[in-house]
Amino acid sequence: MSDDQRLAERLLAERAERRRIAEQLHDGPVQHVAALAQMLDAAVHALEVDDHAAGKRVTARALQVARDAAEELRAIVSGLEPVALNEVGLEAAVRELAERTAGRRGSSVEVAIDDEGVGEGARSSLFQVIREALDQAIRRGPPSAVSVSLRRTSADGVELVISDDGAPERRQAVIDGLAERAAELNGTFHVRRDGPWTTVRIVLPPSATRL
Amino acid sequence: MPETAEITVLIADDHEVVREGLRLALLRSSHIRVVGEAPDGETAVTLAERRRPDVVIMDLRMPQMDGIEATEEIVARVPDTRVLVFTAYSERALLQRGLESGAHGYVLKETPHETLLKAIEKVAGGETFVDPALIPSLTTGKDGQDILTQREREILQLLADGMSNADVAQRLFISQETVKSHVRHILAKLEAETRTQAVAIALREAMID
Repeated sequence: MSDDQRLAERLLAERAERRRIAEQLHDGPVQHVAALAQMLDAAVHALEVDDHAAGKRVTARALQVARDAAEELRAIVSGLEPVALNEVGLEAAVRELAERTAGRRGSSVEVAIDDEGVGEGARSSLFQVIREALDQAIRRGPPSAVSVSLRRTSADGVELVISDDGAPERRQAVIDGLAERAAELNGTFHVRRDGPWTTVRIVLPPSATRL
Repeated sequence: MPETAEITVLIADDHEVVREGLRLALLRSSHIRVVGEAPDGETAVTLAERRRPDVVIMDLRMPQMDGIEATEEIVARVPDTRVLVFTAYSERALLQRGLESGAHGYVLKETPHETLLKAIEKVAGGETFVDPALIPSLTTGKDGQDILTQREREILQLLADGMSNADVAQRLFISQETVKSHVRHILAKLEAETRTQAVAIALREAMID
């Protein structure tokens, strides 16, 4: 691949990433904050006409919506680049992410990661791949089990395997996105369905593993 | 208080929490009655045909037919129903597309309740309404420079905030004739600059009392 091609792909990937963040913000916190404004407007009006019962009820609901918005923002921020990644390593960061997303929805979570000798850039990329794969696994109702494993290959690369038994319909766009990320890292990408299980497997060569 | 005619509205938004907030806010106005809710554009069109509301409050980004397409369908199939775009997007391009698709109004989701009520009432009456919060953003030209003078911008903001020409004249210690002459200049510049008639017409209706 020429340098020009690489740069073009890099820019394309960055744009896709910005679009993804914009969509996450738009679909989550932006909507919650807008609803919050409407609710507080209703509460102010209720209090103005001395309807204290309605004022209290609507304010309590608004409070809950404000907390939901804060929770969503926190999830988006920590998904961008978790502070934990470089401090406590990939395993702890992935475990926390999996617990917060799948685990909290009742899925059993299994994480086994050996990132010995994996570069900082590669860790960050692998984390993003895992986050997207988990996102889509739970999007259509939580699976009963999710597993994430990363091991060093005999060829000095890494193999990432993410499995879940969630709903089989996947958004093709997300699958394409994962394949694209793997390709950016000169890796190979496979998706397999086996009974209720969907398994994503990505293998990175040594050059990308050291990034 | 004078008796106000009842206005029936349909809420189309794919976010349940937004429909809930809107429902709670509109409950406080006795002359507005919510006659249905739709989580996507297709359902909005079906419900609009069946219930024939005065106004559809329409989100832009929705699954199964977005708000622009749904607006075009509703305008074609239920001509007595008006559409008020209700969105979190403040980009000028979307405002243009919204108005060109046949919507009569465009407001931001966090707009104050008074503005929302005014928008619903104006749109129900067949008039055009653009969220005042959007008007200053429309005065940036293609080169990124503000196309208005400082004085014109000041007057536009006061008008956007809901002041009449007379109020503005009083506030700025100038004659009403001077205000009107400024408004004519502002409109001429905006019309030349925004390139779509729809936005210019919306602004003219919003600004001239």
